[in-house]
Amino acid sequence: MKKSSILSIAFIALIGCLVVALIYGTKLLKENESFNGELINREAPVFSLTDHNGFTFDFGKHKGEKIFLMNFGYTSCPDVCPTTLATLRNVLVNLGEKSSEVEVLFITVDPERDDVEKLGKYIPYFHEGITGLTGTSDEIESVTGAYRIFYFKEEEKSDTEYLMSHSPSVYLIDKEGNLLLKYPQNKIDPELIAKDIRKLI
Amino acid sequence: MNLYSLSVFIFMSFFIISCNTDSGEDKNSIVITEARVREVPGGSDITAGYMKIENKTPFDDKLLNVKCGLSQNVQIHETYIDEEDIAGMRMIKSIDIPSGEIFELKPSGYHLMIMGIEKGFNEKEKIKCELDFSKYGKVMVEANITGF
Ligand SMILES: [Cu+2]
Repeated sequence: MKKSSILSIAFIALIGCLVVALIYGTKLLKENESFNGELINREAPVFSLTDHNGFTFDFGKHKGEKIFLMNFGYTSCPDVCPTTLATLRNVLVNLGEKSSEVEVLFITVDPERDDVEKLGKYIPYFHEGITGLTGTSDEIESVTGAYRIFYFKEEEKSDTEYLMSHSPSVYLIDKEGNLLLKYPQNKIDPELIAKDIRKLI
Repeated sequence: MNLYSLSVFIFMSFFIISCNTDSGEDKNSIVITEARVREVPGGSDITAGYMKIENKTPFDDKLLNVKCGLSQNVQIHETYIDEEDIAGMRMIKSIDIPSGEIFELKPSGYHLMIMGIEKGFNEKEKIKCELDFSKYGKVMVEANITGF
């Protein structure tokens, strides 16, 4: 065999190897970028509410400091809401030391009943890394509007006894302040969420 | 006793135990298993209860009413989550349980909505509930109080 043909075979083999490496490499990169949550990726709207200790919580000041997990609900909801809060607590537990880079926000859609005092007792029951937020009806309307969260009061039995309907999803805001991911009810799982967070820390 | 007779003895005792739980009072009755009630988070006076209800009677029956200890009111609720990403609860008047079937109350599905929880609830290990069926009548269960 001629020297030149050996060279050209080696050259073709080298090109082949490079192509395979390139395809495999981009695939790996893509896998790394894919998340368990559904991608939203728009700037997270800012808001100001009152936390469960009675202090003002200005999200504009905290945005970008940490990863935020956000959920909307109400305390007179014994099935879905505490299950989600327990799941978010399990995300923090799962992350161990890294949980200091994550803050969970629970925003009430029922500010009439969920005042600072009620949230102050309810939220710490789940985890100290969770912040409960309430406000006036107008404030809650504006934050839910900005995040496109639906909620409404069902038929009222009395002033204090009524059921609410609301979006149960969990939202993730990354360290760049982007509303990056949404976890619908069937994806609210501590392992799935923690895995995404580890990619983002 | 040699190993062989020991294993025969163990096998027989398992057999007897498993026979026992399946015979006698379970037949022709409504059997409740895995009854549990969630601990009440601070600041709240509402919680949820779950269980499996098996209708072993020859009749189709209906769960009409529930009462539980240390609470003022128990309703039967269904949690629904629709495609528009809305979750809510609706009150159900009764649950049909056909003969031979098992109905499960579980998180994000049907639950007992236990309201007006009184003091001392979380300190208990179990809470007594009384289920009232249309044909079978009343069944008492002890539900374990569980964390989250
Ligand atoms: Cu309910």
